[in-house]
This record gives sequence, C-alpha cells and structure tokens, in this order.
Amino acid sequence: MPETDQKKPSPSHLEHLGVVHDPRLRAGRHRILRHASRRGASIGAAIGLPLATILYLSDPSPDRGLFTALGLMLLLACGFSLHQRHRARAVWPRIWDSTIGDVALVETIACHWHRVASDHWSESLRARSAHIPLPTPEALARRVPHPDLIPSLLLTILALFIGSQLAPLKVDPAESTPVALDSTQDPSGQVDRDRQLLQQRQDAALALSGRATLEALARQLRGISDASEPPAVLLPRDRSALAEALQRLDETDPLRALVERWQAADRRSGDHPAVAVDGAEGTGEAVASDPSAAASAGDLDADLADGGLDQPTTLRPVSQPSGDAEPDVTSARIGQDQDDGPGIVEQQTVSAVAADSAATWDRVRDDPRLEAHWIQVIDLYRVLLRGRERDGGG
Amino acid sequence: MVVDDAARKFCEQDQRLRSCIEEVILGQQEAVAAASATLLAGGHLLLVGVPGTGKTKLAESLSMVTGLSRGRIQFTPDLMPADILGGETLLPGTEGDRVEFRPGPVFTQLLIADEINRGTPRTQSALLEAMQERAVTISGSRHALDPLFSVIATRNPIEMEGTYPLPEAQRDRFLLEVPLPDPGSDVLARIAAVTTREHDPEVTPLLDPKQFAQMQRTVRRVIVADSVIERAARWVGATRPGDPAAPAEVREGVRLGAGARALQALILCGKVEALRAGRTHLADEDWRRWRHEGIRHRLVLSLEGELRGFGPEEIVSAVDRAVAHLG
Repeated sequence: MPETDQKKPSPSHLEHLGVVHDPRLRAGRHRILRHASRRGASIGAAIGLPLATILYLSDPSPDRGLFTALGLMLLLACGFSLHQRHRARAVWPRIWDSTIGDVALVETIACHWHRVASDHWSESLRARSAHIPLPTPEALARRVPHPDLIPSLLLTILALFIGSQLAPLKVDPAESTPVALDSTQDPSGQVDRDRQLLQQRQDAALALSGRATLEALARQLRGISDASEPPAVLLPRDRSALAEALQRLDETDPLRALVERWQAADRRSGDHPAVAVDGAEGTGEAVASDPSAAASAGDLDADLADGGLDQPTTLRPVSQPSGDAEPDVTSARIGQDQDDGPGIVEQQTVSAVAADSAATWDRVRDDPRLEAHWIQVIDLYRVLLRGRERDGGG
Repeated sequence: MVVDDAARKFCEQDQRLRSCIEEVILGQQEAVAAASATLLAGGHLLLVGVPGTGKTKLAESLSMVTGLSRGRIQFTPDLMPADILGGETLLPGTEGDRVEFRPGPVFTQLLIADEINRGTPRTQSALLEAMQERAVTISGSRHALDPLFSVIATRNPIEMEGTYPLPEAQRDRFLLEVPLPDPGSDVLARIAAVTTREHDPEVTPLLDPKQFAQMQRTVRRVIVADSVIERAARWVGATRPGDPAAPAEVREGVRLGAGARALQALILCGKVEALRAGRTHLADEDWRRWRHEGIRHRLVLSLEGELRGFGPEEIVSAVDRAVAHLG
C-alpha cells in the first residue's frame, strides 16, 4: 500500500494543504463553506426568532427589547454560522462527493493533491479534478438542506399569541409605577424627579419598618393605601422612626405634612407638665397633669414590654407638695474604697416617691413568674433612672 | 466508469473469473465474490458451511480458473505437521547417506486445506508461519514459499466430534471467513439438473499465474484517501471492548475484537470492490462491503456475549451505530 504508507494529515487539515492552490477545488470548497455558513445562520435565526420574540415581549422597554432581541438573533446566527462553517471545513470533500454522485472522488483527490504522483493512476486522478462539476447551490441545498422555518414561525406566532393574551407586559411610560419611568422619553427631567421622589418615599417607609403603630403610615408612603390615622400615643422609637422618615423625605414632598401630622398627633411629644398623682405610683397610671396622661403613663409598661426606652422618658418623679407625702430619705450607697476601706463613698437624696417606686420595682422584679430577660430590663431601667437622678434629677 | 486500461482489464478478467465459477457453484454469488476477492487481495480464505454447500468445489474451481498450482490436504486427526510442511529424509547413496529435504504440499501456489478443523491444533499450527510469512522453517532451515501462496480452508461448523476449534491466531490469518448458506429449493433443482447429466460441468483455466499476479498488483494500486482509512480504522477499533468508541454490546459481549489484520482485510478487499465498481480509488462503501466477512472469525465473545446470543451480525450493527456519528 504505497499510498497509505505516507504520513498524511487528517481531512480537518485539508485547507492547509495544496488543495487550496487548485482553483477548481478551491472554488468548490468556497461554495460549500459559504453554503454551510448560510445554513448555520438560518439555523440560528430559526432558533433565535421565538426566543427573541419572547425576549422582546417580556422587556418593558420597547427599544431595549428590540435591541436585545435583534442582538440575540444576530448572536445566534453568527454563532451557528461559524459552527457550521467549522464543521464543513472538515468534511467539505465528502459533501462535494455527495452532490456529484461519486464516492470519495473529491476526498481522494484532495487528500492526494499535495503528494508527488507515484503512478499513472495518481496523475489521472489529479487530472480529473479539472473536470469535476462544482457543487451547485441546488445540489447543496438537496444534500445539506436549510432548516425548516415553519416550526420556528409557529413558535413565534404562539409566543405572540400568548403575549397578547396575557396582561400587557409593556407599561405605558405615563403610568406612575417605578418600572414604567423612562427618562429617555422625558427631556424635561420630570421623570427623573418623580423617580427620585418615589425612591425617597420608599426610603422613608423603610425607616418606619418594624414599628407596628407606623405600619399604616408606611403603607401610605409606599402608595399602597390612601389614608391613615395616627395613634394617640407614640413610643419613643416610633418618634425616632418618624423623625428618620421625615429626614429622608424631600423638602418639597407633600407627604412630609402627613408625617408631621403623625408627629404632632403624639400627645406625649408636647410640653405637657408631668405630675405625680396620688396613688398612681408604682402602677404606672396617671403621672401627668394632662387628663389624657393616664394613657401615656400606661405606656410605661408598654415601653418595658417593648424592650425599654432609647431616650430618657419625660415621665419623671416629681416632688409632691402635699403634706401627706412621705419625707425625703437619704440613702447611701456603700462601696468599697480601696484606700480607705469600707465607707460611705456617695450620698444622694431621692424622693419618697422614688423610694416607693423602687420598692415597687423590687416587688415586680422579685416576682417568680417574671422571666429572666425582663429582670435584666428592669435592672437596666433602674440603673438608667439612678444615673439620671445622680446627674441632677432630670 | 473505468478510467484506466489496467483497471478495465482487471474488471473484465474478474468478471469472467466469477462467471466461470458461478457456472459450477450455483446460487453462491456472494461467496464466489468474496472468495475471489480474497485471492485477488493476496489473502487466505476460510470457507464455512454445512456439507453439500460446495465448499471444496469452490476451492477447487478457484484454483482451476486462476491457473495456479494446487495442493490439497485432507485434514484428519492423525495428520502431522510434517505431512504438511515436508521434512528431511535420510537417503542412502553410493557416496554415503545424505539428508534431503522433501517439500510437503504447502509448497504450492494454492493450498486447499479441506476440513481444517479436523486437524489437531499442533498440525493446524504448522500453517501459521506459512500463512503469515509465506515461508516455513524446517530443521532450522527457512524455506520460502511461492509469492502467490494462498490457503483456501474449509470448515464444517456443525460437526463437533473429532474436530478441533481453530486457534485465534490461526483464524486471524484468514483474510475473510466466507459462509456458504444453504441453497434454496430453486437452486437445489438447478444443482440437480446440472450435476446429473452425462458430463459434469467443469471449469477451465482462464488465467495463468502471471496474469493472476498482475491482477493482485493492480489491486494494490488502488488509491486510498487517509480519511477513508481513518474511518475504517475507527470502525475496526470500535469492535474492541477497550476502545472508547466501542458500543455497549461490544464492551459487554466481546472479549477480543478485531485487530490490524482485520483492517488490512477490509482495505484490501475494499480495493478489489472499488475496481469492480470501476474506480481507482477506495470509498467507504467498498470496505464496508466486507465488514461482516472481515471480523466474524476474529471476534471472541465473552461468556455474557454468548449467553445473550450475540453474533457477528449484532456486533457489526452495534459498531455501525456507534461510529455513525463519528463521520
């Protein structure tokens, strides 16, 4: 087998051989590769058309959707075209053979083109290359047909039909939903301002999150509900959340008035003087002079239940002018002085009300039914009260 | 479409040769084509068939029409290697005794090994060197055989008593194993009509050894693209259980697949087929024509393969499917 004894590259390397120097073989190869490229592009388009349609329908922006769809189509067409061309480069002699009805003629000629003709058969075989009919587009289309576009078109029509039956995915830019805002269609910048305003409202609503009493206001800021009524009393955390929300709102936002109304509705936020009420100590009831202060005083328990106050409360023990009031007592806290040994290191005066309140706290704290974390809360609260009293009774 | 005088002449001679044999061997056109292709490719032929299918007749007819010198060995269990190869004999003489080499029947151009599976493995092995190297070594002396030496062996696949299976190495040396199927009733009628006359039909020599050798050289001139050989090699490789492209049937049912000699057989017999088709270059369909005959005797089935009833046909179909996507 003298022909096969010689080392020869595989057909995938045929384009690097002398075959490219033969004009007829080169022309036929070029036709086949061009056909393969077109076929690949057709396949890519057939696959990409339904996908691009779905992509276009699902994109809220018509321009961007069109651009994406066309880009996808182009990408698929180019990708499949290159893939088909690459595959054809390895088998183009066989494709050519199949179009002319001769088996392995072009393949053998292409394979042996670079070799020195060893005998008459090799020479005659090479001479036949000049008479091989070129592959016609019709023959190529018969042997390597283009893809059927009907399934692709049917899928596209189906996608269009489903898209028309579903809720319109493309929203009118005039609508006020955030996704519909498109600054490209608003040269005046109003859309950008609206978008910013909406974002600020969302931020403000976010500041109110977690506060149950402010949920209605947060929903109104988000535009979910229309009206909300402020509660009569706000906790300190509610007030701080309202302040934070107010900071996040734009100065020109009409909803600022709503937040301010909620702030003003808090009856504890005013300058109502707080007074102690007989018999009210320890129960947390009616320690303000305002008739409605009973509710505010009752919030003390709610504050405790809420985890304590972040800010010093306005409820504070006051001296009671009544003669029935118990006299002030002087309490001493005995500490350990390292230098002088045990001794009185600090003295402070607390009111009788405070002392009574302390007794109440002790009673509550020693309740065996109280859970451990509430004991910690009471301890922290009493430390806070002591600190304020030490700082001047404020 | 024959493009060359040598190829045209080959076609004519081959056609006459086959037609002449088919006048004697009725209803076995495929077997005649395969047998003649084997000899034209320069290989050894194994004819397999039940008694009465014309195995020996085909072998004798081939030797007659090709004009080659013929030797025949009827294999029996008591046949010895020396009965095939020959040996050195002590001859008395006036100037003293001398040892002389007496060549056996293997020293011929066409050796008919009738019922080869009746010989013991030891005797069968005597042909190994002769079939592969066309030479034999006796008492340390190497004796070359005729360049046109070929073996046409016959084997009865049914009869088991007093037979010995051919070793794998021996089977691999046969280029093709050609089965001779049972003739149909119409063929039987023709056989009866032809062979019961006053004179039996006989074949006449159509060629001489020189012409036959020229035909063999013409076969070797057929041009083969490397890509075609690569595809054939991929196909043969897929018959091996360890090959990555081997199908599940091969991995599970085959213990030993086809090798290099199988690929040589496919290519050489494919070249004959290409010339018969009027081409001077090999195509895929040429070598694929012989893939059943080329690997059926080379496959060694595993126990699972035998239990599942695999045969060469199932293996060939499975390999065809496995390598179809490889191009």
